[in-house]
Amino acid sequence: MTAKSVENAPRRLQHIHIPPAAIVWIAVILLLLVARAVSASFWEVSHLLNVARQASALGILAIGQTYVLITGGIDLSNAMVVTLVNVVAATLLRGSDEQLGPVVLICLAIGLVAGLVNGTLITRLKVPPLVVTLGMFSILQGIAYVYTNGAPRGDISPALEFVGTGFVGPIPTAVIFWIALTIIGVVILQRTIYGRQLYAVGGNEKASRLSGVHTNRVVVIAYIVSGLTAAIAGLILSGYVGTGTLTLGDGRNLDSIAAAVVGGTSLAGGSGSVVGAAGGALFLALLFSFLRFIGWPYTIQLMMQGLILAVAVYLHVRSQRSGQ
Amino acid sequence: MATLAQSQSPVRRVTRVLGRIGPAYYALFFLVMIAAASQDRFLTGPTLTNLVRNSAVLGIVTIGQIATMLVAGIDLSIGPVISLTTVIAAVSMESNPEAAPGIVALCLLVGLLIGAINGFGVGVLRLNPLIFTLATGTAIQGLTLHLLYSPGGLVTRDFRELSRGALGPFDCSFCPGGVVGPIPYAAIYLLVLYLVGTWVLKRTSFGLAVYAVGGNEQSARLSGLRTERVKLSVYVISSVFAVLGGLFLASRIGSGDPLVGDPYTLDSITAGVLGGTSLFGGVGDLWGGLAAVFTLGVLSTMLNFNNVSPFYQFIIKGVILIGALAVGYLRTRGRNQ
Repeated sequence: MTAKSVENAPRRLQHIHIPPAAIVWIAVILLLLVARAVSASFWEVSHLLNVARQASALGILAIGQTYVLITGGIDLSNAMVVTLVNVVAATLLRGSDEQLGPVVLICLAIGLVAGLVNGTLITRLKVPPLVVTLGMFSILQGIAYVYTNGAPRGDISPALEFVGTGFVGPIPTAVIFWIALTIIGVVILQRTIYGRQLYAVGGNEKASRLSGVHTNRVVVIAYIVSGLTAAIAGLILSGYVGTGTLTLGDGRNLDSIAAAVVGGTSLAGGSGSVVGAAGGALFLALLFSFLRFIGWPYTIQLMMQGLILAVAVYLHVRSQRSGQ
Repeated sequence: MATLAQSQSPVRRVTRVLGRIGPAYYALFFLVMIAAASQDRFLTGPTLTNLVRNSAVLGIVTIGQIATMLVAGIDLSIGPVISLTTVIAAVSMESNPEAAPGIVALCLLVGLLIGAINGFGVGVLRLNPLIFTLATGTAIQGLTLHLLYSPGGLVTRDFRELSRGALGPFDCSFCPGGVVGPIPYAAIYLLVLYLVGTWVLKRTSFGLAVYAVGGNEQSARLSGLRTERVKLSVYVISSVFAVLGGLFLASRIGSGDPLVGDPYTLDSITAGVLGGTSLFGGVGDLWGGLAAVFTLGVLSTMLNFNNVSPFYQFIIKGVILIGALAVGYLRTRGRNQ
């Protein structure tokens, strides 16, 4: 009896299941330890909080991207929601807080409409999300260019700049927004009927439709969430840069996918974690900050990001196959 | 059988044939009609020559993108590979102008290597093509910026001729004006590449294997096809065509630019989808893609002629992309009912 259980111990160890979302947080801790070993000044609280602020916009984008990935979809248009929100906010605010409320509502409406249209086309026409959101990307880009005539004007207001660059006590305002939205994202996913339905639709759409879930509605809401988080990230980034620019969103769609995938979300749908996405965003921001810290140029950082993404997707696929 | 054919009215037969033609051909046909009717300058030599030269890069790289789409894949590294090619070509030709042929060979070798990496990840390790080629594309973009951070370098005079040159004009007694041409090299490249590509896809066992793998990978494997090898080859093809497109672009702009390839990744997907190739694999052909490439080219020429802000092109491109999908959906739904 005892001999048998000893014999089985290694096998049992193999069966200990580490959720993918936890792996990325372990990676974050390992990276922090490595950074600490290289230089103690990397661990200064002000520096780490600064890194967290750099991660916050990406983290917020990754929440919505995770919702969409859980449905088995993908959202490439979120980057252009960021850009459009940025130029619209800068043009309308003109550097003052007078119109802040209506402008914020308009920006959120941009995200909501983009998500609604994406979701509706994907569910009604049954066309690949990749192409629909790519088309939406192009349309939003065109609207941003036509709206600004290629030369964005205006400035962001002081209140938004506080959101992008300010502090509440020692903590950057953007990080507070990120944490709050992550908590909301987790609660909706884990504690509401909608969250259960989202996983169900992503896992097996037909089965969940046959068991009475309004699958189309569930998917459309996921794209709306992605549009809204993109709009919020756009407002925070606008506060950070302070002006309107037509390149603010560039590459952020792929970055948000990278953060979600590094955080353990599968592209196949049915699984995914907002806590993991937060870890993914923090890991990427920490890594870039560390590479800058040791003097590696931005170009090497890009190469590293590609490498990490490839390794992450490889490990993820391997763990799934060995689990089967 | 004969009675069935006879019982169909000619009108019905015509509509059936017309129904099989992809949306890209209609779009191209109507756009050319509108352009020719509204602008006298449209159907003239200089305009058409420019149109072909401006469409050549997208035309070349779309062949590779369609090949990956046919095996239910996608290649997001096309844009970075184009940029990398322009940078390698322009920077090395500036320092070694006499070594131009060797530099071209080097670029093709780089394309082979990148394609082999993509093909290994997607075909052999069976990683998600979207994420894996995004990863390699990001890494290549980093490498390209590392080699050259802002536009620079210079290609040789002979190399520039490869995109700017033309054949002819030839004497032609039946033609209006008595001559035909000059025919830009770009038109010849496109014609040759599309003819060879179509021959490979439709007439060789490799081409049939591509359609088989894309149609149903499981049954392709069970019937003895080496699906890994087919997928690997397809990604090598895609990267090599991206290099060819990059070489043409380097010749056309005359220098290297680390970000110049950016739009081609998504544009080649747009062209493939608009040309009737399915993202789920197994369905599509090259000619539809070429029609889509020229549809986008004619569109931008028309907007320029009419002094419409080029910014509207983004909106129109997006609407066309989603519209083409909607048309495809309505057609298949009509067939299923």
